[in-house]
Amino acid sequence: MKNIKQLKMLIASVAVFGIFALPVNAHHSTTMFDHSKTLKIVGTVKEVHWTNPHVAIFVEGIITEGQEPTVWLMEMTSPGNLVRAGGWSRSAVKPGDKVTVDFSPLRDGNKGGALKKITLADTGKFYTADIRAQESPNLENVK
Amino acid sequence: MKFLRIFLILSTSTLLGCSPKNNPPISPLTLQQLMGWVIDSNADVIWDSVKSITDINGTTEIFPKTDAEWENIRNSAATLVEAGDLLIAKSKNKEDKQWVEFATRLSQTSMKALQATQDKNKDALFDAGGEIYNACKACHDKYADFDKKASK
Repeated sequence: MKNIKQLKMLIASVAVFGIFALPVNAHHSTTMFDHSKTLKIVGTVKEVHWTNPHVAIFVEGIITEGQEPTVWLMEMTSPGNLVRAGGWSRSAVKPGDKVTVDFSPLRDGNKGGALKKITLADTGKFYTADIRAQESPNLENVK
Repeated sequence: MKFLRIFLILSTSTLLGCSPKNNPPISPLTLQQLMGWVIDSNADVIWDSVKSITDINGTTEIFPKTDAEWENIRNSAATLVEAGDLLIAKSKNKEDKQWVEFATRLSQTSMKALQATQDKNKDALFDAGGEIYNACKACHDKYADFDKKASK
């Protein structure tokens, strides 16, 4: 499918041009993410895309001390699956929020990943996401 | 009367001989091409049609506004409705009932998107997009098994 390529182009566009207002409508498997690894980024939410098939949050931040802040694309499952999983809404996380994000990174080293947990620095409130587990309950209702 | 009976038998035999059951699909597309060129591309049209993008300046709501935009999305939804039948036709194992169920689910969820375009209901279209995604994902988990292949 074209989608992995599309996602890479999106990430590259953000990195080079700082463009966020691009569609994140690619349907893809979760295999592009290395689920055996968890990285943590500390930064600021720049943009939230509440869209099918994957909600995306752009976070500008650093992985390790001393780094220049860069923009990372964090992906989740669909809006409907997130809402059904509990807690999430389109305004749960807003641009400008200071956050810490735990995520499974892209296997190819690009600046993106599958969001696992996002914690708001101001309140300590957190939201979890598991792109595979949150999708599973909604896949069984075959009629 | 006897002539009529023979005529009916011959006519029925001829009609049965023309039934789709006896004719293999003539489409040269592979299953992967059907997925990429027909299903995924039309699903993208639906998924991209309704969304919200929020940045520091506010929220931009994207949804179809003109008749032409609604018709374009309607056409993609209709294509996906029919694609369920195409998937069944492409099945390698005609006895695989679960394949048929997944393909039917694609048609059913796409039908909701089609209805939403006819009602010009952007919220219903957004929800249908999520259901289409789950239909795709359920089938991929069963038959494509991307996760297992990646871990090898």
